[in-house]
Amino acid sequence: MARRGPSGYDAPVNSRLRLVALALSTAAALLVPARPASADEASGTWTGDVELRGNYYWERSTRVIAPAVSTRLQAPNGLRVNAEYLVDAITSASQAAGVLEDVRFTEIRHEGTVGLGGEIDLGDAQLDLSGSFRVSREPDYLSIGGGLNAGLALNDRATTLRLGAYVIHDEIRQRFQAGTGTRPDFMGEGTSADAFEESFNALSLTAGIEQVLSPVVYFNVTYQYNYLNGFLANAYRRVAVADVLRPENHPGVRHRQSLTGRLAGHIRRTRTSVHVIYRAYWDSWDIAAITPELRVYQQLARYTHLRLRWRHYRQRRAFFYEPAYADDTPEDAYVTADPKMSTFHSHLAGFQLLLGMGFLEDTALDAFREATLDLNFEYIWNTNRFGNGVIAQVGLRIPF
Amino acid sequence: MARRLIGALALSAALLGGCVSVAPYEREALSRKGMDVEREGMEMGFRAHVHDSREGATGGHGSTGGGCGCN
Repeated sequence: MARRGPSGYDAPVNSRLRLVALALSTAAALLVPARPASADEASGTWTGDVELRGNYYWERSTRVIAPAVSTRLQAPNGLRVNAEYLVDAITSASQAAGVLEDVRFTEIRHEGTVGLGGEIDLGDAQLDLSGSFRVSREPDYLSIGGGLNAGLALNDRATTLRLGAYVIHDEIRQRFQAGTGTRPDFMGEGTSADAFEESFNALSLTAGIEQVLSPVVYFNVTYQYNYLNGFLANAYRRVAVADVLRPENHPGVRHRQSLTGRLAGHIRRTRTSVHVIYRAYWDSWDIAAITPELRVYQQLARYTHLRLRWRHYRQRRAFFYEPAYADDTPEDAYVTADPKMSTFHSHLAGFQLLLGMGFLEDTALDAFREATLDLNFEYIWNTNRFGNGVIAQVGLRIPF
Repeated sequence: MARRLIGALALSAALLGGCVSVAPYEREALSRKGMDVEREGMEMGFRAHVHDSREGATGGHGSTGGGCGCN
């Protein structure tokens, strides 16, 4: 979703999108079984599911189309394997100068993730270990990440303690802006000279607890700490200071922390589930944010569920964000034109319709009787320069 | 204030967990579609990506805040 400078990529993008669509269709055809496997340990077969998902995001200056496919497999011995592939086609107006220009460009991002996990029975407890590796690549951006997670289930799985660690290495290039690829001055502390080849590293640590409180209620809380070090600005965005455009200059280190809690309950009589979620966030750039969220899941019919979702987000600005910088702002001062560094708030409201395919049982399409189709639509009211937005998704999940 | 509130809730849940005993056969309701959010992982992944690229905050959904210029 990064904003980039203009490029002439529109024509090749169409043929690439067709290739991507063909690849996804082929992958789906190969992955979806003709009939459900009798998957259990006795038969020695694998269980799992395939999920196809179309993602769409729209706002005033940006459109994102992101088809994705994923599969999760479980071996008879409990070993789990998962893989996911996603393509982002981002069409955006240039905001390099901090002002919308009537120039549109399209950029393609590929992302692949693989994971492996399994559970070790310790008698009174169960230890779940998993690892994942992710690569995301754009013409001007490469992100590589990997992590490990551990979950310890206690009290007949009524209590689960979780720990996780994830590392990221990102490499940032500048290929679209006038084709120079030359790094301007004052782009942040610790940046290299001449050729625009920047990078940053990040470490994320997570700790959490999940507790079943009653037969219909559970609670979880997660603390996350992120440490980022390196080039943390946008490679293309410019800031107007005294009528002169200069590159963004962000601090080279950022400490980010969040604490998230969720209370979920189910009402048997009305077949309704309610989730109350609250996140508090704060970081070393002085941004502090709160995010309350409410989700209501309602079973409408035997195979039909409705989810309603409301989310509010409110933050205060980074210490170096100014709506307009003074003419005497020093050359090496931190400056930004990033709307997400400003003080703003947003509301999100939306719904999901989840349709089960149980009605296909004992028909010619019996193989898909456990599949689900979900349709999602969400609208975001945003008070900063990004403006309002829409998130739409359609997903098909086929267990086997 | 909010952090203290969540901390207090977390501590309460942890302490309460030691007092609560819910047998596995009593947890049928917790596996219903509205309670099992793991099935929403892929859907929430894209949404988290959108939020990370448009908000100054991150966390709580497995995202690390890196990649794709979302830092």
